[in-house]
Amino acid sequence: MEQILADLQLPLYRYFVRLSNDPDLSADLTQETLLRAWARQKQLRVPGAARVWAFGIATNLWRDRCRSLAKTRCDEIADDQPSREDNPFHAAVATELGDAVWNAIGTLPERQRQILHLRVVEQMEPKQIAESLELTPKLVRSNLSAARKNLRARLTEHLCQSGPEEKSS
Amino acid sequence: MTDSHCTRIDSYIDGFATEQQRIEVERHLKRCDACRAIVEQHREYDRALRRHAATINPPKHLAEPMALAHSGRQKVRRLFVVVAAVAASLILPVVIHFRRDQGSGRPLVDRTFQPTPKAPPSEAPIDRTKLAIASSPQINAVDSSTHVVVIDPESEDDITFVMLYPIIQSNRE
Repeated sequence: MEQILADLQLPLYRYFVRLSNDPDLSADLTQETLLRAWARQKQLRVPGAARVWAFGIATNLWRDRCRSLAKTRCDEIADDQPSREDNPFHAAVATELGDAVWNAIGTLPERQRQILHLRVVEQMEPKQIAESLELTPKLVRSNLSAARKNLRARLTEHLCQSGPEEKSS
Repeated sequence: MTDSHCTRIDSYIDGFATEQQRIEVERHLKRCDACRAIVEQHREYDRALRRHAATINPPKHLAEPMALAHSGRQKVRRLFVVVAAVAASLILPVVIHFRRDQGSGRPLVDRTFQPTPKAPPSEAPIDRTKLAIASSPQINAVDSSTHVVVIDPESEDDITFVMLYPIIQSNRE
């Protein structure tokens, strides 16, 4: 069990960074998720389902945190954080496109953001995402489709705006 | 490109289009440059996002809680063993004492007890060869002890011996 949880540390941390855009809060929430998972390890009957189960705990924890911070929407927590350019945490940037995609996903509604992250980064199946987020697979698919559409629109807009500037500079 | 195209392409990109839908989309992509560009664009977004996510690493102290939880669990285990050993060493003499009193029919605490003047110590020690077995050995399955009640014909006092089962067994052999 300890090894399973150790392997989940990084995916959970990235998930919380995706949701909160705050490395310190993400580290706290990851710790809390792992400790909750450790305490409730008897609930896990199928070891193969550990990832889905742990993301479910993480999502509930995130909801609780949003409620305790008296935020009507979890999006507001992410909006409170400094932008990627101002945040030293984001100093290590993989690529310009990666940065653009990351920022564009950050502007999506929370549910679309969660689903897109779990699908693309964690490569989870819609059924697994549905279990983790307590949604139906159909809703996951429709949200994912909407997220793709929004992402496309935002990135096209972003790339069209940044293209001429780059050329002129 | 229509909305239905977009939806199908999104399902195709995410790999949950049905077999029929997949064939249809692939047929459409062969003759539609715009949709092919969209698919390629999304695959590039996904690759970029994965590469980007790979640069996010948790702080080193994140590994600590698991180690702490693990060491805490081991501590609890060790503590449990110590407590169990102490409890066993305290409870065992009480149980043995209680069983011995129960066997002779005497209450655990005799409240009517009146001290009698001390009798002069008998000069002759108990001749153990004269002791007769008053009851058959009773082997207690719970604590593996064996009660053997013997009687001294001279003093008519019954004496209960509590012996551990392995000793009796070795004697029987």
